[in-house]
Amino acid sequence: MRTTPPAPDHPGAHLGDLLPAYVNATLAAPLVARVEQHLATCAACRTDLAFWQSVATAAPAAIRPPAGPAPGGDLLDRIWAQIDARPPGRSVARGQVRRRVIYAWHFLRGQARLLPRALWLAAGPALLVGCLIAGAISNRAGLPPLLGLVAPLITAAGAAFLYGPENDPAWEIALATPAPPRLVLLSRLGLFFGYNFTLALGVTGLLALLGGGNFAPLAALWVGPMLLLTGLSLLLSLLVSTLAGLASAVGLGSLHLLSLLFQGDSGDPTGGLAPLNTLWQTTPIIVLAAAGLLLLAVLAVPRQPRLAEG
Amino acid sequence: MEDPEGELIARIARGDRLAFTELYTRYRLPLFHYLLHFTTDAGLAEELLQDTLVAAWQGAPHFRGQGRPLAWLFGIARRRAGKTLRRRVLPRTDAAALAMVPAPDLEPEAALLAGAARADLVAAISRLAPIHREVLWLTFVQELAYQETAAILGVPLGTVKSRLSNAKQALRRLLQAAEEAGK
Repeated sequence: MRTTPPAPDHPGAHLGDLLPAYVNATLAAPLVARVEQHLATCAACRTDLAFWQSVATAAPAAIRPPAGPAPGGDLLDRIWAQIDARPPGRSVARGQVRRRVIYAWHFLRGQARLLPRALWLAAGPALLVGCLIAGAISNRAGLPPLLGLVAPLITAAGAAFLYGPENDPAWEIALATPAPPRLVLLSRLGLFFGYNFTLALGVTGLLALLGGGNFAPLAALWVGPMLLLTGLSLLLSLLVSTLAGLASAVGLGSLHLLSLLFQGDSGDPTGGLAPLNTLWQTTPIIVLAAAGLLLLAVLAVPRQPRLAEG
Repeated sequence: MEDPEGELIARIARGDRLAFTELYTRYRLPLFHYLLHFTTDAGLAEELLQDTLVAAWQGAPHFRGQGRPLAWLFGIARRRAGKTLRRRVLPRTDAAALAMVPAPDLEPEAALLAGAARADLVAAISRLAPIHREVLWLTFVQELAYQETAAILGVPLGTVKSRLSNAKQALRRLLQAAEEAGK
Protein backbone atom coordinates (compact mmCIF):
# COMPACT_ATOMS: atom_id res chain seq x y z
CA MET A 1 0.00 0.00 0.00
CA ARG A 2 1.32 3.41 -0.88
CA THR A 3 0.75 6.36 1.36
CA THR A 4 0.88 10.06 0.81
CA PRO A 5 2.45 11.98 3.65
CA PRO A 6 0.52 14.96 4.86
CA ALA A 7 0.76 18.35 3.32
CA PRO A 8 1.68 21.35 5.47
CA ASP A 9 -0.97 23.48 7.14
CA HIS A 10 -3.72 24.52 4.85
CA PRO A 11 -7.13 26.22 5.22
CA GLY A 12 -8.71 23.03 6.54
CA ALA A 13 -6.04 22.49 9.18
CA HIS A 14 -8.48 23.15 12.03
CA LEU A 15 -10.79 20.35 10.95
CA GLY A 16 -7.70 18.40 10.03
CA ASP A 17 -6.97 18.11 13.75
CA LEU A 18 -10.05 15.92 13.98
CA LEU A 19 -9.00 13.46 11.30
CA PRO A 20 -7.33 10.94 13.66
CA ALA A 21 -10.57 10.85 15.69
CA TYR A 22 -12.50 10.49 12.44
CA VAL A 23 -10.31 7.54 11.49
CA ASN A 24 -10.66 5.75 14.84
CA ALA A 25 -14.41 6.41 14.81
CA THR A 26 -14.58 8.27 18.11
CA LEU A 27 -15.76 11.57 16.67
CA ALA A 28 -19.22 12.79 17.64
CA ALA A 29 -21.83 12.51 14.90
CA PRO A 30 -22.22 16.26 14.21
CA LEU A 31 -18.47 16.59 13.80
CA VAL A 32 -18.37 13.56 11.52
CA ALA A 33 -20.83 15.33 9.26
CA ARG A 34 -18.75 18.52 9.29
CA VAL A 35 -15.53 16.66 8.57
CA GLU A 36 -17.13 14.75 5.71
CA GLN A 37 -18.56 17.94 4.29
CA HIS A 38 -15.14 19.51 4.44
CA LEU A 39 -13.39 16.49 2.96
CA ALA A 40 -15.63 16.72 -0.09
CA THR A 41 -14.12 20.07 -0.96
CA CYS A 42 -10.58 19.93 0.45
CA ALA A 43 -7.96 17.88 -1.37
CA ALA A 44 -5.31 18.59 1.26
CA CYS A 45 -7.49 17.11 4.00
CA ARG A 46 -8.22 14.09 1.83
CA THR A 47 -4.46 13.58 1.59
CA ASP A 48 -4.21 13.93 5.37
CA LEU A 49 -7.03 11.45 5.81
CA ALA A 50 -5.31 8.89 3.62
CA PHE A 51 -2.16 9.37 5.62
CA TRP A 52 -3.89 8.87 8.98
CA GLN A 53 -5.68 5.79 7.64
CA SER A 54 -2.28 4.39 6.67
CA VAL A 55 -0.94 5.21 10.13
CA ALA A 56 -3.94 3.51 11.74
CA THR A 57 -3.23 0.39 9.70
CA ALA A 58 0.50 0.44 10.36
CA ALA A 59 0.40 1.41 14.06
CA PRO A 60 -0.49 -2.00 15.54
CA ALA A 61 2.43 -3.59 13.71
CA ALA A 62 4.78 -0.71 14.47
CA ILE A 63 3.94 -0.32 18.17
CA ARG A 64 3.46 -3.92 19.12
CA PRO A 65 4.51 -5.16 22.52
CA PRO A 66 7.83 -6.92 22.73
CA ALA A 67 7.51 -10.65 22.12
CA GLY A 68 7.85 -12.85 25.12
CA PRO A 69 7.12 -11.03 28.35
CA ALA A 70 3.66 -11.44 29.76
CA PRO A 71 2.28 -10.97 33.24
CA GLY A 72 3.02 -13.98 35.45
CA GLY A 73 0.36 -16.59 36.08
CA ASP A 74 0.25 -15.87 39.81
CA LEU A 75 -0.25 -12.13 39.38
CA LEU A 76 -3.92 -12.24 40.34
CA ASP A 77 -3.05 -14.11 43.55
CA ARG A 78 -0.46 -11.48 44.40
CA ILE A 79 -2.98 -8.72 43.74
CA TRP A 80 -5.49 -10.34 46.10
CA ALA A 81 -2.78 -10.78 48.71
CA GLN A 82 -1.91 -7.09 48.46
CA ILE A 83 -5.55 -6.02 48.60
CA ASP A 84 -6.29 -8.27 51.58
CA ALA A 85 -3.19 -7.12 53.42
CA ARG A 86 -4.58 -3.59 53.61
CA PRO A 87 -7.57 -2.56 55.63
CA PRO A 88 -10.24 -1.78 53.06
CA GLY A 89 -11.68 1.59 52.13
CA ARG A 90 -11.50 3.24 55.50
CA SER A 91 -7.74 3.64 55.67
CA VAL A 92 -7.72 4.93 52.11
CA ALA A 93 -10.42 7.44 53.00
CA ARG A 94 -8.51 8.42 56.10
CA GLY A 95 -5.40 8.89 54.02
CA GLN A 96 -7.30 11.14 51.64
CA VAL A 97 -8.68 13.21 54.50
CA ARG A 98 -5.17 13.52 55.92
CA ARG A 99 -3.80 14.62 52.56
CA ARG A 100 -6.55 17.21 52.23
CA VAL A 101 -5.93 18.55 55.71
CA ILE A 102 -2.22 18.83 54.97
CA TYR A 103 -3.00 20.57 51.67
CA ALA A 104 -5.37 23.00 53.39
CA TRP A 105 -2.75 23.75 56.03
CA HIS A 106 -0.05 24.47 53.44
CA PHE A 107 -2.48 26.52 51.37
CA LEU A 108 -3.57 28.68 54.30
CA ARG A 109 0.01 29.11 55.47
CA GLY A 110 1.03 30.19 51.99
CA GLN A 111 -1.82 32.71 51.79
CA ALA A 112 -1.01 34.08 55.25
CA ARG A 113 2.53 34.80 54.03
CA LEU A 114 1.24 36.56 50.95
CA LEU A 115 -0.97 38.98 52.89
CA PRO A 116 0.64 42.36 53.54
CA ARG A 117 2.59 42.07 56.77
CA ALA A 118 1.16 45.39 57.98
CA LEU A 119 -2.26 43.74 58.20
CA TRP A 120 -1.01 41.39 60.88
CA LEU A 121 1.33 43.84 62.59
CA ALA A 122 -1.02 46.83 62.61
CA ALA A 123 -4.51 45.38 62.74
CA GLY A 124 -3.91 43.13 65.73
CA PRO A 125 -2.39 45.61 68.17
CA ALA A 126 -4.66 48.44 66.92
CA LEU A 127 -7.68 46.27 67.52
CA LEU A 128 -6.49 45.25 70.92
CA VAL A 129 -5.56 48.72 72.13
CA GLY A 130 -8.50 50.43 70.42
CA CYS A 131 -11.05 48.04 71.86
CA LEU A 132 -9.60 48.27 75.34
CA ILE A 133 -9.59 52.09 75.27
CA ALA A 134 -13.05 52.20 73.70
CA GLY A 135 -14.37 49.78 76.26
CA ALA A 136 -12.80 51.67 79.17
CA ILE A 137 -14.09 55.06 77.98
CA SER A 138 -17.54 53.70 77.34
CA ASN A 139 -17.78 52.21 80.76
CA ARG A 140 -16.42 55.16 82.66
CA ALA A 141 -18.03 58.09 80.91
CA GLY A 142 -21.32 56.45 80.30
CA LEU A 143 -20.95 57.23 76.62
CA PRO A 144 -22.57 54.97 74.12
CA PRO A 145 -20.07 52.20 73.68
CA LEU A 146 -17.28 52.84 71.21
CA LEU A 147 -16.36 49.18 71.13
CA GLY A 148 -18.78 48.69 68.25
CA LEU A 149 -16.79 51.22 66.22
CA VAL A 150 -13.20 50.07 66.63
CA ALA A 151 -13.37 46.37 65.75
CA PRO A 152 -15.49 46.80 62.58
CA LEU A 153 -13.50 49.81 61.40
CA ILE A 154 -10.09 48.17 61.69
CA THR A 155 -11.24 44.88 60.15
CA ALA A 156 -13.07 46.55 57.27
CA ALA A 157 -10.12 48.84 56.53
CA GLY A 158 -7.82 45.80 56.37
CA ALA A 159 -10.25 43.88 54.15
CA ALA A 160 -9.68 46.43 51.40
CA PHE A 161 -6.08 45.16 51.13
CA LEU A 162 -6.80 41.45 50.94
CA TYR A 163 -6.91 40.73 47.22
CA GLY A 164 -6.18 42.12 43.81
CA PRO A 165 -3.25 43.29 41.72
CA GLU A 166 -2.85 46.44 43.84
CA ASN A 167 -2.15 44.45 46.98
CA ASP A 168 -0.80 41.07 45.98
CA PRO A 169 2.97 40.94 45.55
CA ALA A 170 2.67 37.57 43.83
CA TRP A 171 -0.43 38.38 41.77
CA GLU A 172 0.78 37.08 38.41
CA ILE A 173 2.41 34.03 39.92
CA ALA A 174 -0.78 33.27 41.86
CA LEU A 175 -2.84 33.48 38.68
CA ALA A 176 -0.48 31.07 36.96
CA THR A 177 -1.02 28.41 39.64
CA PRO A 178 -3.97 26.01 39.60
CA ALA A 179 -5.32 27.50 42.86
CA PRO A 180 -8.80 28.90 42.13
CA PRO A 181 -8.85 32.68 42.69
CA ARG A 182 -12.05 32.42 44.73
CA LEU A 183 -10.45 29.91 47.05
CA VAL A 184 -7.52 32.30 47.44
CA LEU A 185 -9.89 35.15 48.32
CA LEU A 186 -11.93 33.06 50.74
CA SER A 187 -8.88 31.70 52.50
CA ARG A 188 -7.38 35.17 52.92
CA LEU A 189 -10.68 36.56 54.15
CA GLY A 190 -11.06 33.65 56.55
CA LEU A 191 -7.56 34.15 57.89
CA PHE A 192 -7.76 37.89 58.35
CA PHE A 193 -11.34 38.05 59.55
CA GLY A 194 -10.79 35.06 61.85
CA TYR A 195 -7.71 36.71 63.32
CA ASN A 196 -9.54 39.98 64.06
CA PHE A 197 -12.69 38.22 65.19
CA THR A 198 -10.75 36.10 67.67
CA LEU A 199 -8.93 39.14 69.04
CA ALA A 200 -12.16 41.10 69.36
CA LEU A 201 -13.81 38.17 71.14
CA GLY A 202 -10.90 38.06 73.57
CA VAL A 203 -11.07 41.77 74.28
CA THR A 204 -14.82 41.61 74.70
CA GLY A 205 -14.43 38.78 77.18
CA LEU A 206 -11.82 40.76 79.06
CA LEU A 207 -14.05 43.85 79.22
CA ALA A 208 -17.00 41.77 80.34
CA LEU A 209 -14.88 40.31 83.12
CA LEU A 210 -13.42 43.64 84.22
CA GLY A 211 -16.62 45.65 83.90
CA GLY A 212 -18.88 43.00 85.30
CA GLY A 213 -21.12 43.22 82.25
CA ASN A 214 -22.63 40.52 80.05
CA PHE A 215 -20.57 39.14 77.20
CA ALA A 216 -23.35 38.78 74.64
CA PRO A 217 -24.59 42.42 74.54
CA LEU A 218 -21.00 43.63 74.29
CA ALA A 219 -20.24 41.24 71.40
CA ALA A 220 -23.49 42.30 69.70
CA LEU A 221 -22.09 45.83 69.50
CA TRP A 222 -19.49 44.83 66.91
CA VAL A 223 -20.24 41.41 65.33
CA GLY A 224 -22.91 42.62 62.88
CA PRO A 225 -21.16 45.87 61.92
CA MET A 226 -17.84 44.05 61.51
CA LEU A 227 -19.39 41.60 59.04
CA LEU A 228 -21.28 44.32 57.17
CA LEU A 229 -18.43 46.80 56.83
CA THR A 230 -15.95 44.06 55.91
CA GLY A 231 -18.27 42.81 53.17
CA LEU A 232 -18.77 46.33 51.82
CA SER A 233 -15.11 47.25 51.94
CA LEU A 234 -14.00 44.01 50.29
CA LEU A 235 -16.61 44.29 47.54
CA LEU A 236 -15.68 47.88 46.74
CA SER A 237 -11.98 47.05 46.76
CA LEU A 238 -12.62 44.34 44.17
CA LEU A 239 -15.08 46.26 42.00
CA VAL A 240 -13.55 49.75 42.21
CA SER A 241 -10.23 50.01 44.04
CA THR A 242 -8.53 49.45 47.36
CA LEU A 243 -8.96 53.15 48.11
CA ALA A 244 -12.73 52.94 47.58
CA GLY A 245 -12.95 50.01 50.00
CA LEU A 246 -10.87 51.84 52.57
CA ALA A 247 -12.90 55.04 52.11
CA SER A 248 -16.16 53.20 52.69
CA ALA A 249 -14.89 51.80 55.99
CA VAL A 250 -13.40 55.09 57.20
CA GLY A 251 -16.42 57.13 55.99
CA LEU A 252 -19.04 54.99 57.66
CA GLY A 253 -16.91 54.73 60.80
CA SER A 254 -16.51 58.52 61.00
CA LEU A 255 -20.23 59.11 60.58
CA HIS A 256 -20.94 56.61 63.30
CA LEU A 257 -18.43 58.29 65.59
CA LEU A 258 -20.09 61.66 64.98
CA SER A 259 -23.48 60.24 65.76
CA LEU A 260 -22.14 58.72 68.99
CA LEU A 261 -20.57 62.03 70.03
CA PHE A 262 -23.73 64.05 69.33
CA GLN A 263 -25.82 61.55 71.20
CA GLY A 264 -23.39 61.67 74.11
CA ASP A 265 -23.45 65.48 74.40
CA SER A 266 -27.11 66.31 74.00
CA GLY A 267 -29.01 63.12 74.40
CA ASP A 268 -30.55 63.94 71.04
CA PRO A 269 -30.41 60.85 68.96
CA THR A 270 -28.25 62.32 66.20
CA GLY A 271 -30.77 63.87 63.86
CA GLY A 272 -29.94 63.13 60.24
CA LEU A 273 -27.39 60.46 61.13
CA ALA A 274 -29.94 58.31 62.91
CA PRO A 275 -30.69 56.04 59.91
CA LEU A 276 -27.00 55.19 59.63
CA ASN A 277 -27.00 53.88 63.16
CA THR A 278 -29.28 51.06 62.11
CA LEU A 279 -26.21 49.63 60.36
CA TRP A 280 -24.38 49.35 63.65
CA GLN A 281 -26.36 46.53 65.13
CA THR A 282 -26.22 42.77 65.17
CA THR A 283 -29.56 41.76 63.75
CA PRO A 284 -30.54 39.00 61.35
CA ILE A 285 -31.05 41.61 58.61
CA ILE A 286 -27.57 43.04 59.09
CA VAL A 287 -26.01 39.58 59.11
CA LEU A 288 -27.95 38.63 55.97
CA ALA A 289 -26.93 41.86 54.24
CA ALA A 290 -23.32 41.19 55.18
CA ALA A 291 -23.56 37.64 53.82
CA GLY A 292 -24.96 39.06 50.58
CA LEU A 293 -22.08 41.51 50.24
CA LEU A 294 -19.50 38.80 50.92
CA LEU A 295 -21.15 36.55 48.36
CA LEU A 296 -21.06 39.35 45.79
CA ALA A 297 -17.39 39.86 46.59
CA VAL A 298 -16.68 36.20 45.93
CA LEU A 299 -18.66 36.35 42.70
CA ALA A 300 -16.72 39.44 41.68
CA VAL A 301 -13.56 37.36 41.53
CA PRO A 302 -13.51 35.60 38.18
CA ARG A 303 -13.23 31.85 38.28
CA GLN A 304 -10.22 31.68 35.98
CA PRO A 305 -8.83 35.09 35.20
CA ARG A 306 -6.31 35.32 32.43
CA LEU A 307 -3.01 36.93 33.12
CA ALA A 308 -3.84 39.57 30.54
CA GLU A 309 -6.77 40.62 32.66
CA GLY A 310 -4.58 41.06 35.72
CA MET B 1 -29.13 0.35 28.11
CA GLU B 2 -26.57 0.26 30.88
CA ASP B 3 -22.94 0.28 29.87
CA PRO B 4 -21.70 -3.23 30.70
CA GLU B 5 -18.14 -2.02 31.22
CA GLY B 6 -19.31 0.71 33.59
CA GLU B 7 -21.43 -1.89 35.35
CA LEU B 8 -18.31 -4.01 35.82
CA ILE B 9 -16.64 -1.17 37.73
CA ALA B 10 -19.82 -0.58 39.74
CA ARG B 11 -19.78 -4.25 40.78
CA ILE B 12 -16.12 -3.96 41.77
CA ALA B 13 -16.99 -0.89 43.83
CA ARG B 14 -19.46 -3.08 45.72
CA GLY B 15 -16.64 -5.52 46.49
CA ASP B 16 -17.52 -8.12 43.84
CA ARG B 17 -14.35 -10.20 43.42
CA LEU B 18 -15.70 -12.06 40.43
CA ALA B 19 -16.13 -8.75 38.62
CA PHE B 20 -12.56 -7.81 39.47
CA THR B 21 -11.31 -11.13 38.09
CA GLU B 22 -13.22 -10.37 34.90
CA LEU B 23 -11.62 -6.93 34.74
CA TYR B 24 -8.22 -8.51 35.28
CA THR B 25 -8.76 -11.04 32.51
CA ARG B 26 -10.05 -8.41 30.12
CA TYR B 27 -7.53 -5.63 30.66
CA ARG B 28 -4.29 -7.08 32.05
CA LEU B 29 -2.64 -7.47 28.65
CA PRO B 30 -3.50 -4.02 27.24
CA LEU B 31 -2.40 -2.52 30.55
CA PHE B 32 0.81 -4.52 30.58
CA HIS B 33 1.61 -3.50 27.03
CA TYR B 34 0.89 0.11 27.87
CA LEU B 35 3.23 -0.05 30.87
CA LEU B 36 5.97 -1.41 28.61
CA HIS B 37 5.91 2.04 26.99
CA PHE B 38 7.48 3.37 30.17
CA THR B 39 10.02 0.70 31.03
CA THR B 40 11.93 -1.97 29.20
CA ASP B 41 11.99 -4.08 32.36
CA ALA B 42 9.14 -6.60 32.13
CA GLY B 43 9.42 -7.37 35.84
CA LEU B 44 8.94 -3.73 36.73
CA ALA B 45 6.05 -3.46 34.27
CA GLU B 46 4.40 -6.39 36.03
CA GLU B 47 4.96 -4.75 39.39
CA LEU B 48 3.36 -1.57 38.05
CA LEU B 49 0.49 -3.63 36.67
CA GLN B 50 -0.08 -5.09 40.12
CA ASP B 51 -0.07 -1.60 41.69
CA THR B 52 -2.44 -0.35 39.00
CA LEU B 53 -4.96 -3.12 39.56
CA VAL B 54 -4.81 -2.77 43.34
CA ALA B 55 -5.41 0.97 42.89
CA ALA B 56 -8.31 0.17 40.56
CA TRP B 57 -9.90 -2.04 43.22
CA GLN B 58 -9.53 0.70 45.81
CA GLY B 59 -10.53 3.50 43.46
CA ALA B 60 -13.57 1.79 41.91
CA PRO B 61 -16.03 3.57 44.26
CA HIS B 62 -14.74 6.89 42.87
CA PHE B 63 -15.22 5.93 39.21
CA ARG B 64 -17.91 8.26 37.90
CA GLY B 65 -18.27 6.81 34.42
CA GLN B 66 -16.23 9.57 32.83
CA GLY B 67 -14.87 7.71 29.80
CA ARG B 68 -14.46 4.01 29.36
CA PRO B 69 -12.96 1.81 32.08
CA LEU B 70 -9.97 1.10 29.83
CA ALA B 71 -9.14 4.81 29.67
CA TRP B 72 -9.60 5.06 33.43
CA LEU B 73 -7.23 2.13 33.95
CA PHE B 74 -4.67 3.58 31.54
CA GLY B 75 -4.80 6.83 33.49
CA ILE B 76 -4.08 4.99 36.75
CA ALA B 77 -1.30 3.00 35.10
CA ARG B 78 0.35 6.09 33.72
CA ARG B 79 0.28 7.89 37.07
CA ARG B 80 1.64 4.81 38.86
CA ALA B 81 4.41 4.45 36.30
CA GLY B 82 5.34 8.11 36.57
CA LYS B 83 5.38 7.99 40.36
CA THR B 84 7.45 4.82 40.58
CA LEU B 85 9.90 5.74 37.86
CA ARG B 86 10.51 9.12 39.41
CA ARG B 87 11.56 7.40 42.63
CA ARG B 88 13.70 4.65 41.15
CA VAL B 89 16.65 4.48 38.85
CA LEU B 90 15.66 1.58 36.69
CA PRO B 91 15.69 0.73 33.01
CA ARG B 92 13.14 2.99 31.47
CA THR B 93 12.22 4.65 28.27
CA ASP B 94 14.44 7.61 27.53
CA ALA B 95 12.98 10.49 29.54
CA ALA B 96 14.65 13.06 27.34
CA ALA B 97 12.94 11.56 24.34
CA LEU B 98 9.61 11.61 26.18
CA ALA B 99 9.98 15.33 26.71
CA MET B 100 11.18 16.03 23.19
CA VAL B 101 8.72 17.60 20.84
CA PRO B 102 10.13 17.95 17.37
CA ALA B 103 9.91 21.31 15.72
CA PRO B 104 7.34 21.38 12.96
CA ASP B 105 8.76 20.98 9.53
CA LEU B 106 7.86 24.24 7.88
CA GLU B 107 8.89 23.28 4.41
CA PRO B 108 8.09 19.64 3.78
CA GLU B 109 8.73 18.35 0.36
CA ALA B 110 5.48 16.57 -0.07
CA ALA B 111 6.28 15.50 -3.61
CA LEU B 112 9.37 13.61 -2.54
CA LEU B 113 7.53 11.95 0.31
CA ALA B 114 4.40 10.98 -1.58
CA GLY B 115 3.94 7.29 -1.87
CA ALA B 116 5.83 6.04 1.17
CA ALA B 117 5.44 2.29 1.39
CA ARG B 118 3.64 0.70 4.33
CA ALA B 119 6.88 -0.94 5.44
CA ASP B 120 8.54 2.47 5.51
CA LEU B 121 5.67 3.81 7.56
CA VAL B 122 5.88 0.96 10.07
CA ALA B 123 9.62 1.56 10.36
CA ALA B 124 9.08 5.30 10.78
CA ILE B 125 6.44 4.87 13.49
CA SER B 126 8.68 2.48 15.40
CA ARG B 127 11.44 5.10 15.32
CA LEU B 128 9.22 7.88 16.68
CA ALA B 129 9.89 9.41 20.07
CA PRO B 130 8.05 7.49 22.85
CA ILE B 131 5.80 10.48 23.50
CA HIS B 132 4.52 10.25 19.91
CA ARG B 133 4.34 6.47 19.81
CA GLU B 134 2.24 6.63 22.98
CA VAL B 135 -0.33 9.01 21.53
CA LEU B 136 -0.53 7.01 18.29
CA TRP B 137 -0.93 3.78 20.27
CA LEU B 138 -3.75 5.24 22.36
CA THR B 139 -5.46 6.69 19.30
CA PHE B 140 -5.07 3.98 16.69
CA VAL B 141 -4.41 0.77 18.60
CA GLN B 142 -6.62 1.33 21.63
CA GLU B 143 -8.99 3.54 19.60
CA LEU B 144 -9.61 6.00 22.41
CA ALA B 145 -11.35 9.34 22.00
CA TYR B 146 -9.35 12.55 22.38
CA GLN B 147 -10.99 13.25 25.73
CA GLU B 148 -10.00 9.84 27.05
CA THR B 149 -6.45 10.21 25.81
CA ALA B 150 -6.25 13.66 27.38
CA ALA B 151 -7.43 12.26 30.71
CA ILE B 152 -4.87 9.46 30.58
CA LEU B 153 -2.01 11.75 29.67
CA GLY B 154 -3.15 14.40 32.13
CA VAL B 155 -3.04 17.11 29.48
CA PRO B 156 -5.62 19.43 27.90
CA LEU B 157 -7.50 18.18 24.87
CA GLY B 158 -5.66 20.65 22.65
CA THR B 159 -2.37 19.06 23.66
CA VAL B 160 -3.56 15.69 22.37
CA LYS B 161 -4.31 17.31 19.01
CA SER B 162 -0.98 19.08 18.91
CA ARG B 163 0.85 15.94 19.97
CA LEU B 164 -0.78 14.05 17.10
CA SER B 165 0.10 16.86 14.77
CA ASN B 166 3.70 16.78 15.99
CA ALA B 167 3.76 13.01 15.50
CA LYS B 168 2.61 13.62 11.92
CA GLN B 169 5.40 16.13 11.36
CA ALA B 170 7.95 13.78 12.90
CA LEU B 171 6.75 10.96 10.66
CA ARG B 172 7.08 13.20 7.68
CA ARG B 173 10.67 13.96 8.56
CA LEU B 174 11.49 10.30 9.12
CA LEU B 175 9.88 9.30 5.83
CA GLN B 176 11.71 12.08 4.06
CA ALA B 177 15.01 10.95 5.56
CA ALA B 178 14.29 7.35 4.53
CA GLU B 179 13.41 8.50 1.03
CA GLU B 180 16.65 10.45 0.73
CA ALA B 181 18.71 7.59 2.13
CA GLY B 182 17.18 5.22 -0.43
CA LYS B 183 18.15 7.35 -3.41
